[in-house]
Amino acid sequence: MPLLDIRNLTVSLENEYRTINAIDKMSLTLRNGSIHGLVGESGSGKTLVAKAIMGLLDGEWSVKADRLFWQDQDLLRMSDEQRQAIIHRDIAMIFQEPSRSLDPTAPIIEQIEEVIPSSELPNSFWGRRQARHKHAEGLLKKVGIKSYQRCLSSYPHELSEGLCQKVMIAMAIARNPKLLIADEPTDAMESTTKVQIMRLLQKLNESKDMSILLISHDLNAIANWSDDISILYAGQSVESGTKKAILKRPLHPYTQILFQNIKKFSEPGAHKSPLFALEGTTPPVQHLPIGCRLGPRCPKAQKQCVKTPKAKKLHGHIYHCHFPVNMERKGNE
Amino acid sequence: MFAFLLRRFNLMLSTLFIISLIGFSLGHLFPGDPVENYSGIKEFTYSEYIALTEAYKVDENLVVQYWAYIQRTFSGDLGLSLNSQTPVLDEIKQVLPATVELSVYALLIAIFIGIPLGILAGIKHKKPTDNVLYSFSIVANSIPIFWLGLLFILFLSLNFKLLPMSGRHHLLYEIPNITGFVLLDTLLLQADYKWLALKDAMSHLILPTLTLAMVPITLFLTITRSSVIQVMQTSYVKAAKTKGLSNWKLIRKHILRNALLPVLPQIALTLNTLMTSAMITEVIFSWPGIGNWLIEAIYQRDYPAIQAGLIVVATFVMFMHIIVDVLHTVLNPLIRK
Repeated sequence: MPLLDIRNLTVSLENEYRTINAIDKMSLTLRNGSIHGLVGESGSGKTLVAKAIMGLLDGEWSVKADRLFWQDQDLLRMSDEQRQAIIHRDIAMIFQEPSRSLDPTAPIIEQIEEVIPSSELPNSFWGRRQARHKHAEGLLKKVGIKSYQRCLSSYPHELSEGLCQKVMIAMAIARNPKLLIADEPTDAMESTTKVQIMRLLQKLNESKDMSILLISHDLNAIANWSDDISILYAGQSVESGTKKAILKRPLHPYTQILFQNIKKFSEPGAHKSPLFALEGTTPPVQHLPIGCRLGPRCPKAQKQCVKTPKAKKLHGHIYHCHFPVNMERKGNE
Repeated sequence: MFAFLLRRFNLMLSTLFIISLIGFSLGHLFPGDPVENYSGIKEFTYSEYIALTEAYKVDENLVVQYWAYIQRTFSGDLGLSLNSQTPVLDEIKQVLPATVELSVYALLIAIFIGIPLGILAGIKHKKPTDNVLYSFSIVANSIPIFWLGLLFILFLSLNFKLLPMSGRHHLLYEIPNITGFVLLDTLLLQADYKWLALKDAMSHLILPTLTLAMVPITLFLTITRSSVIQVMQTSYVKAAKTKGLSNWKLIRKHILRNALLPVLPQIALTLNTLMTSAMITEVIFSWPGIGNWLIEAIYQRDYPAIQAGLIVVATFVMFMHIIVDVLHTVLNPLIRK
């Protein structure tokens, strides 16, 4: 049973003249206990997917899906309150730019204490305050903040970006969520801090049996840390499968080109040889092509590509393409 | 924090200096003899004139004159009123409390009505509640208050005879002037009709306070509303939503403080408009405050009174500004850094 099963998620922005599908029939299956990487270029709709799962989108967005199952419960077929209750119980999210996700006028201690569920505290009125404080300290220790006393009494603007992210993680794990959505958790951070945060997430994943949906445009990070990978291009699913399968044998031309460059960085290339890149740029949301959105830029594109390709499965590896690459090797194997 | 207080103190001193400079130069700029303008004495004998010239150092250069003026002001000698020939300071002591009382009540009403309504409108943004409140604030803001005051008098006092139209209390009640604040004075009164008098004083307060409060209410409403809307869209409120807080807790813990902090300096700015509106309101409702008194002084070219009134009003507004500024700094951790 997958933890989170999304089938054909469509997030659209409507105005008087037309409807724009910012996310177009995107699918995602998240195994229990895994780190699932969601990769895409900036503006490909990664954050929108996360916000749609959390139910954080404003009124102007409409969210539709064939399935949005959380542990065999259909999130779309229940009242808002029920849905919110399940999401708050089981899912937590951390954001990019953590310092802006903390209330600037409240000290850290207040913000951490308000997420600690009452069930974790003793029932007596007198012990509560103490226990709450202890619990908050414990959370900060758990995420590896050494000077937790000072951190608790600080305001967000007095902490570094990395510390803020650790505080956000501490608040996220306070309720022992089953899934942590990490939306570009290491964006705009130094590389040592980046590694620290990623290690922390991995440790939490191992010891707590907490799944992580890791959203990033950092291919190296995703390739290093995640077990499964889903790739998004301009709001459409491209390919998803285990890390191994995708790195070893990408089936979609986009994936192939995407991961070609990582390999090049690890091995010394020819002197001054050009990096390979697709022609053109990602389409802006007002000018999305019909059919497969990669179509105009795809080296393999043919007439058929004006129709959106259906999901096809090969050894548990899902791809959305009419003309997949690397198929011929199937015969050789 | 100490450096901040020192800076504010410095600002206060320099503003006071400029105000006193203006007050001093008015004595020379007003038509007539400077000695008459400063002292407020209309008719003097030759020897008196010489004595005053000596005392005010009018013969000497401007710096010495200014210094003498400052010394006089600090010792509380603001001259006599040209009309009543009583010391200006005594008259101001009589009328200033009335204005302060009226303004404070109006400001309190504006804060307790305008800010909660603004929060309500901001939270219900784009819903009927917000539309109604926002249209109300625009309509109420565009009504000139002298006309609003007259409408109140016409409907509530003359047509329906619900509320009295002028003065601070009915002439029947004899209320001694102890503190200058009518409600306090009535409470201090030792007589059988104490509670009747209090009720009467309250009913006299309603119309002027409402008239005066109308513009600040609408200002606070719109400012708070836009501030709340802005805070609701920030990423920290969105992040707080994922924590599973109840709506009320979210508003109380995260939205209110962040939305109200930028409103606080606006309250200080409103004081300026409030002082101007207070003058108009006082004239309409014959409220014996400093605005009414100052306008009377302007009509009758009572130069010492005008000069002293300006200094007192300007100093009062400036002190309020600095107090609110310090308060804002104490409350806002983002500025405190």
